[in-house]
Amino acid sequence: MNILLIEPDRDLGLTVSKWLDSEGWQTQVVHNSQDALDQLDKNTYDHIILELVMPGSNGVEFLQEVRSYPDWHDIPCIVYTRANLGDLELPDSVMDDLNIHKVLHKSKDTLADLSSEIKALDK
Amino acid sequence: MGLDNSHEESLLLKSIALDLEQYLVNTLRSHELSQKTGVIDPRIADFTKRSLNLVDTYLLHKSYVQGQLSLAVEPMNLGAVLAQVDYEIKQLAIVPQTNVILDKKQSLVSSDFRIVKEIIKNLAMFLASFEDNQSSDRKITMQSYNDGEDVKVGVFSEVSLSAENFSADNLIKAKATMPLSVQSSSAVPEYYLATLLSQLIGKKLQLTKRKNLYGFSLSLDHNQQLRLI
Repeated sequence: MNILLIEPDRDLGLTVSKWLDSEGWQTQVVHNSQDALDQLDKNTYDHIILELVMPGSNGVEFLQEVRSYPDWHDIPCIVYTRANLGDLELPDSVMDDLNIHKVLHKSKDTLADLSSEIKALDK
Repeated sequence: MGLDNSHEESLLLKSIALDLEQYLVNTLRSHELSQKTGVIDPRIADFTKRSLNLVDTYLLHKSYVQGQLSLAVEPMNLGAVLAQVDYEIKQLAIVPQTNVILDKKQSLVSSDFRIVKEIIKNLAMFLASFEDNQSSDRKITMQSYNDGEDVKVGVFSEVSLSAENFSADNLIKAKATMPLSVQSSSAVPEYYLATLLSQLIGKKLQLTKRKNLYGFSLSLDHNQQLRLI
């Protein structure tokens, strides 16, 4: 299974990708939205793991763009973020439109929780 | 730009909190990974050191502002300052390839050793972090040199900087008020604290282009007493 991890913090990106690799998944980590779009163009991914706090743009705008392409519309996305969704002012309808499977918080939710959500998606 | 204004103080504190949050998340998740793999991730110690450095620098500035510490202006060799900074950076999380270049004259200046050292160290960490977002090949040059009558010490990288992007005021406001649109670990507080420490010794950081390198420099006063000898 191929996972695209979009994590602006290089240290955390390395940690999460090592974790996912240890679960037996193939992980490609990128640090900004443009590189993420380039990767989606080049490869096929089964899941997207996304930080909403992104340099240059924010993750919501990125995901809106991704969902505008039919080929990428249904790739399951798990948000793994440091942001409070209250800050983002995202109504539930927008979450549904963006096809976000689950929102996990980096400070509270563990990497094991992230793995569980990915496994749940595959069932 | 100072911290007399409580609004600026609150912006600085929020930006420090955002960076500390990132370091703590990194620590927590690296610890979780270490537990799974059975191999202790050495970056855990690095994240902690960087957090402590950030807090220590903030507290150092407060100690001077509140009068618990006084400026100690004394003759000093900039080579000794840069060597100490080089050593201290290598103890921290961001370990760029540091390149120390000294002017052959090894200028002696009069200033507060501790403050100058912290200014240079925090600028180096800021540039390393900024460079990290542009390139995986991090290389920081720290240099002392004579520029006409001035003795300067500077920190440089190969990544182009612009004055527009490097207004400390604007950066700190952006980080504190619009965290979704800025780098998540851009070491902005370190840069802001370096500008505040510069003010303590009556100096101002200058955005500087030197040969093919970009960065910041600080003009320091010649040590007149030793110059006469």
